[in-house]
Amino acid sequence: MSAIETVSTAVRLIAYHNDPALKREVLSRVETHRAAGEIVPGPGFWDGNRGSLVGVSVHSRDAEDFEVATGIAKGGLAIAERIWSLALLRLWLHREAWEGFHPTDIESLRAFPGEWLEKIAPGCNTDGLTRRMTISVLTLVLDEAEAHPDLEGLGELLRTLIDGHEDSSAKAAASWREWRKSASALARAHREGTLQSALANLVATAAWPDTSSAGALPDVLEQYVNLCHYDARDEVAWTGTEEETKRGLDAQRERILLDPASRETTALRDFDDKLKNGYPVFAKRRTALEEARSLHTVRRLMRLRGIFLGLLSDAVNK
Amino acid sequence: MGTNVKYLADKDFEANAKSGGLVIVDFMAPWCAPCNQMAPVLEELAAEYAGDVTIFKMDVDQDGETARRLGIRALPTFLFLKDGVEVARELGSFTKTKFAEMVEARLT
Repeated sequence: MSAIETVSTAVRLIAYHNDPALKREVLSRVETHRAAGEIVPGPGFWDGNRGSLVGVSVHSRDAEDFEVATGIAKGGLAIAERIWSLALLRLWLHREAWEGFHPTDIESLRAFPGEWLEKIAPGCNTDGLTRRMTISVLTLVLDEAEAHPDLEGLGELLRTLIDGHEDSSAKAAASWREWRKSASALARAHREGTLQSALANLVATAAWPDTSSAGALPDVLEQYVNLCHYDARDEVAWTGTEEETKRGLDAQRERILLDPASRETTALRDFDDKLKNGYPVFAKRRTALEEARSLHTVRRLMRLRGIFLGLLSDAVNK
Repeated sequence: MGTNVKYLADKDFEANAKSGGLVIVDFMAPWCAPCNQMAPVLEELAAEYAGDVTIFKMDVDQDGETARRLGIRALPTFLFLKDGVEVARELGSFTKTKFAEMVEARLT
């Protein structure tokens, strides 16, 4: 299905105001800032030199200015700003750790500030982006949820939610509220910090109607990328002996933590130092976990980037 | 600039804090990334809870007196007021769903 549909609102956005010269101007501005390393994470930032995607595109921190200046939906900008922020904050800080093993993907993510704008053809309409992106991400999440038999209820809820987004205007506000409550209840039914709880929380975050989901979708994207923790944890499993040692050490740490007398001493810090330096098996596992997490972060970000660029490419002219 | 969340100056704080229903004041600054992250969420929620909830922003760089007086030490801080009386204060950025839950809990 195309990302672009006929919109019922009185104002219809036309990308780059159907002017290829404007597109070139915006892209050139972004590229200049990118080459100078002046594109920072976060939405809505511009200090006169450095900025987030909105700042370096239109030299303003206001998404409304972006929409007016470029004719591109601010919902699209919100998606792009969150993908870029996640790439910067989750990966660039650990540059040396991953640069060697995923060079192509990393180059692609670096080029993202100009790439997403490049994909939008002058004259097309980008109003449907938030909705289409939400549906696409929820479809990915549905596949993950269905792989877990104990998340049966969530799969059903996800399908209902995807249908809801397909025809958002036909659903009453009460339905969305009900879906949010159901997803939150499912999240609470599982222990915090589990994949089940994370998936259910993501679904609750996505349960807003099309007209008001622009504020929620960036959080959905972030929660989707955060699932990398569970991908990594599944891959780097404990051996039986390690598991037993870890349980014993966790119990010792818990005792220190709960002992009021230890609060006045450095007992907890000393114990953590001992854990860090005295058990190479844990240090090795920690490194393996970090590497796996980096890899899965890249994979998940590349998946989001691919979907988003695909939706932008599908944009129908005029 | 969004239209549902208005900026509030120090001199207007008292009068607006006592406006009917639940009032939320977002103490923020333009350079604060979590504040900017919350901006579209607040815009949408202000529209969705119009009539029950009024949301204002206070830029602490421009109007810092109220923030100092109220002991605001982190950005963003959200002050929840009923009839001018503080009923809660929340720090940091939240998902839209989480923030909506906080709003609903204070509406009842």
